[in-house]
Amino acid sequence: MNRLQVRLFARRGQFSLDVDFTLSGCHSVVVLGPSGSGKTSLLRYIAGLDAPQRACIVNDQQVLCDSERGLHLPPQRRHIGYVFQDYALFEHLSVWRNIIFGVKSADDVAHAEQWLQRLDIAALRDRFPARLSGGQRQRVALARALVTRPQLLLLDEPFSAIDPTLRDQIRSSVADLIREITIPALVVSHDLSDAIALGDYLLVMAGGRVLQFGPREPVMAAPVSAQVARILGWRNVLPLEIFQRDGWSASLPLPAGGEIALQAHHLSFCPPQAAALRVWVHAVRDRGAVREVQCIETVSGQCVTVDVPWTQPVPAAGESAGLSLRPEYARVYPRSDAAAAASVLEQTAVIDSVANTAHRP
Amino acid sequence: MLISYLTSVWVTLQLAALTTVLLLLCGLPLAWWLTRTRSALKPLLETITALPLVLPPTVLGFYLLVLFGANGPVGEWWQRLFGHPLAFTFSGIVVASCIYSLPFVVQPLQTAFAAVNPRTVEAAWTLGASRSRTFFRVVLPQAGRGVLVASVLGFAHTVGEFGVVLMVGGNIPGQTQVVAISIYDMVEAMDYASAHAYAFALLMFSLVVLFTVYSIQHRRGAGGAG
Repeated sequence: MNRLQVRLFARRGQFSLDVDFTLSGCHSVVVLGPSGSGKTSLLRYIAGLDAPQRACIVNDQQVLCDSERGLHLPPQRRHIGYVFQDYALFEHLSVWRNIIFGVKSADDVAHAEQWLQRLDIAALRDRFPARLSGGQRQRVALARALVTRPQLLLLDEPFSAIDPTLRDQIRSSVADLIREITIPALVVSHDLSDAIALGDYLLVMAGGRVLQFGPREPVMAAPVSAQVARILGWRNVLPLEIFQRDGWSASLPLPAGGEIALQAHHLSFCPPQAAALRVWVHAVRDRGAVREVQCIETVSGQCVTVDVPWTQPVPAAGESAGLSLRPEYARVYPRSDAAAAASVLEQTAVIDSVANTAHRP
Repeated sequence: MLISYLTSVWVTLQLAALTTVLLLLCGLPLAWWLTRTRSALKPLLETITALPLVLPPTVLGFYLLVLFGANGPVGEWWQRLFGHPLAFTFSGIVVASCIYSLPFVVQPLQTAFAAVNPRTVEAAWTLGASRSRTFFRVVLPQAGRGVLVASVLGFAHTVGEFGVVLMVGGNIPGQTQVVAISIYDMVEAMDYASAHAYAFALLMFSLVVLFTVYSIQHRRGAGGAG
């Protein structure tokens, strides 16, 4: 089984990158994080385009970099396919010349022909990159990288240069491609939709550190910290103090301080008297399949976002309402994020009791 | 008079062609290195390269003459290696011209290289291309017009040289007497008619060269790097 092991430390100016993860199997990993979190740097160190201070990078038993042994393979010998954010096509070469740039044998030329067909760019073979659309450029860059039979594929923000109206379609075709090739792939993105469409695994980063790494579903369902929850698009990360006032929850054994994360679609409106949270509705916006309701919690003034399906009624702006939450999906993070992962189950039980208390007459 | 003038034209063309070729050979790697490096030496090398732009030709010529003279460090070494002195020879003015025209070649090259997308260089590396293959297959084609501009400017600037050539090479017909020096000779001899004819030819040459350079640069601006 393929095994990608990445352990590296690098410092440049004020910024330091400290990453350690191991991926077993030919899976796709979406590296997710806000801009400036070190995602692109991570790809560049893996590809050998920059040299880290300390690193041990092994892919499929090939040691790419081992600073203890003074080994640092140049990018030419790492067998890594790299699709740059701007695709970095050779503008002076035709599509075909771009694709066969890395070809070394006649066998590879036939391989290039296959990729040309597979990616549906055979008709463009004599065109120059200046005359290609964003999606076509991306396919040329993918073909160029895959023709060299890489052992690892790296994609840096592959959809940032794509017209937003075509992004979904192109994203799903790239997802199909990544699942088809039998090598691990690392996809850098700051867009949650990419993570959902492309990632078998998620690697959540911020400030040069890995905050969470694991298979997609468990990571999406159980962020280990409030910061990860925010990066994963949980729109309600609220102070726990909200549940510790008004008397209805003051006696609950919640941590003294910290945060609670609630998905917008796991909250629903209920009559004010039965609510866990009392809010007034600030604004209602149409967001495709749902209506997004922006509420203000009456005591703390915190903003709470609720997604309501079109089939359900929505209070009008300015009205008071109650919000009930689905405790099994809530995540509680005591003041220190580090303690959160260990006590996830325990906290879920606590939330259960919050909800029960809240619904008491 | 015509024969001696044609001789000086021939010397000038030989000097300019040889200087341009030598400058491209040294200037390409130097400009590429200057574009890519983060070395602390970069500002120093850039300063030295740009020095001929601001130095009076007589100052540069004087120091080169001291260096190239039979007792100068370079002149002595040259004498031992090739058996003839460097000062007051054609070889001497070629070396001097290379130094004098260096910024006119290196700076346009550096500008052209800086416009090359660095990601394309890295893409070539990840595709297995060596550094030299990347330079010749990816960098140079993208900087092609810059190379052309550098060549034309280097050639034209050498054709127009006067002070440095006079200091280092003197005024030896058939060896170091270039067109600009011939014109100076004619003025000294009060032959204004000939001087005017030849000066006008040089003026036209410079006009055509500069027009060519700006046309190339204008096309680059309109048509992208390709």
